[in-house]
Amino acid sequence: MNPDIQQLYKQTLLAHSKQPLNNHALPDAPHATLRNPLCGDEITVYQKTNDDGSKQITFTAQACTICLASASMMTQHLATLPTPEAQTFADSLVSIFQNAKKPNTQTPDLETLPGDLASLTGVLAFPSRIRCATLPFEAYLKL
Amino acid sequence: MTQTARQPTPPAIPEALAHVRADFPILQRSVHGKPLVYLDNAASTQKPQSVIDAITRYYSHENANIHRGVHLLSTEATGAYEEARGKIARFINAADDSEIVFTRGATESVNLVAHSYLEPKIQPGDEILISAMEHHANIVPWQLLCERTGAILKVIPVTDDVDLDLSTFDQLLNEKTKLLAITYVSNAIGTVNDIKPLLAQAKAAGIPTLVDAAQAIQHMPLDVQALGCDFLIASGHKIYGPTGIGLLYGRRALLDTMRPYQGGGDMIAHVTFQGSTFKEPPSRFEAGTPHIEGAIGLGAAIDYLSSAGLQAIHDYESQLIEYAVAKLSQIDGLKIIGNPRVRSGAISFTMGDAHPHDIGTVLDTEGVAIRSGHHCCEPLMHRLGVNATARASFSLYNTPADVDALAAALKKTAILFL
Repeated sequence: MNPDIQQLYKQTLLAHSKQPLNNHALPDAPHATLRNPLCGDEITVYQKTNDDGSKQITFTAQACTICLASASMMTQHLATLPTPEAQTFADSLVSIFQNAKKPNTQTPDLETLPGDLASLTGVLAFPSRIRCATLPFEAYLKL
Repeated sequence: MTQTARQPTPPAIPEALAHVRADFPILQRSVHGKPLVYLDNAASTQKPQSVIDAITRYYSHENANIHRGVHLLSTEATGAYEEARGKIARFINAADDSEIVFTRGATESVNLVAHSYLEPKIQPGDEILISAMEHHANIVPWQLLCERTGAILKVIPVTDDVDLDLSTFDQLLNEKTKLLAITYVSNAIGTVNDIKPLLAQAKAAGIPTLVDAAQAIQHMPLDVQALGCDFLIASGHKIYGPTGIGLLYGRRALLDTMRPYQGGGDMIAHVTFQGSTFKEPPSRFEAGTPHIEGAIGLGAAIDYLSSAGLQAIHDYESQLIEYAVAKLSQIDGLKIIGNPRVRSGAISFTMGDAHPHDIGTVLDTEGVAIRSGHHCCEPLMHRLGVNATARASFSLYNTPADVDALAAALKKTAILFL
């Protein structure tokens, strides 16, 4: 197996894609849908603040392994942050990945990403798949 | 599948195609350290050296604007451009060279017919009939026309096998129908439609017809007069020619009635500030300096196809696809989408829960280039209940070894995802 493929489809990432966390709709909660017109993948992200102030972020998607795993990890991480910080985090993550697609850009160090999100590093070797990783975060930012 | 399953027999490569791989320089390169196995031909084919040389020769020896200068270079460039038109006309057996209009591609050819032929004739409530297996290029231009005019888009359904479901065709093709626009070969599934009787039925009812031959013209002998269509469209880059060039065949009697597509130089007979008159077809539809080297390159591609022979190509590719269907059918978890009566060019498939993009990425690292996604056929994907498929598509330079490499790479994919 190609080493880049092994880096891309790490066990952590595959585990998230096979059994994604928070993979359900939240009826009546604010939500945003985003579609990648290149492949037809589509994701809807829901966010709800409970009466006790805790936050729930969930998603539904028709999407590839990378996108499902990214969405699963995203819901896990962003729910731990206050909304402004969560938005800043999502915004910077999208920027880092999108900038990595540009030529002559230094490869960002994604190993420092919190928790399981670091397993998205392997996508940098596949520029055509970077959008798969950012789509959930872009959908979240539309909320 | 058990180890004892009978292995399909690979087809022999016929003499006419025995040496074609050496004609395509790009097939010598490697991808991710593996020999390139190019199976994305329905998206775009590779180019033989003769096409590359024709473009280089044009820029090295003949480059000038056409239909304008009295100098030698312009005369030669004009000659080469018009010679390419003649090659296409003979290739599809058009009655006259003037029935071939150069466009930017199949998409522009459809848009040209929508704008210049149908729009002036169509009324609110009139109908345009297409099929459920059309490429977006043979859907969206008609939708836009319907929005502009109040016409209605009607759709011939498909069966679960992805053949045309003609059970309601007699009702769908009726006195309101102003055009039947249908694909010869499905780009997404590979279905070859038996279009001749449908075109004949439309003709008998006085309904004009357009055939999308973008996935047919490179795979089988094609004769527009025998087919009996009024318009036929195709792209250069899918038939071993350059990008940015395509063709529209239009029956001359219809082209004569059509308004210009774009205005500008080279399409006018006379211009005053009070108004302009226009040239005869095909010049009326070729405003401005055209894609000269594209047309010349397309002419060289037609020469290449002709020298290999469309019948030989058709017969070999049919056997190769049959072999590929048999090989892929042996892979656990792989499901071939559609089971058309006659198949050409492409095989679409899914593999369990493995997303087609993930399949495509793994295959790429094994050197195997395929297409993943909706193949510009979202309505068909919706009809089939899939979001996307993986598609392997074949050309005259593909070999049984390419199919074997695809099957081996798919087995590796299965280990990862299934």
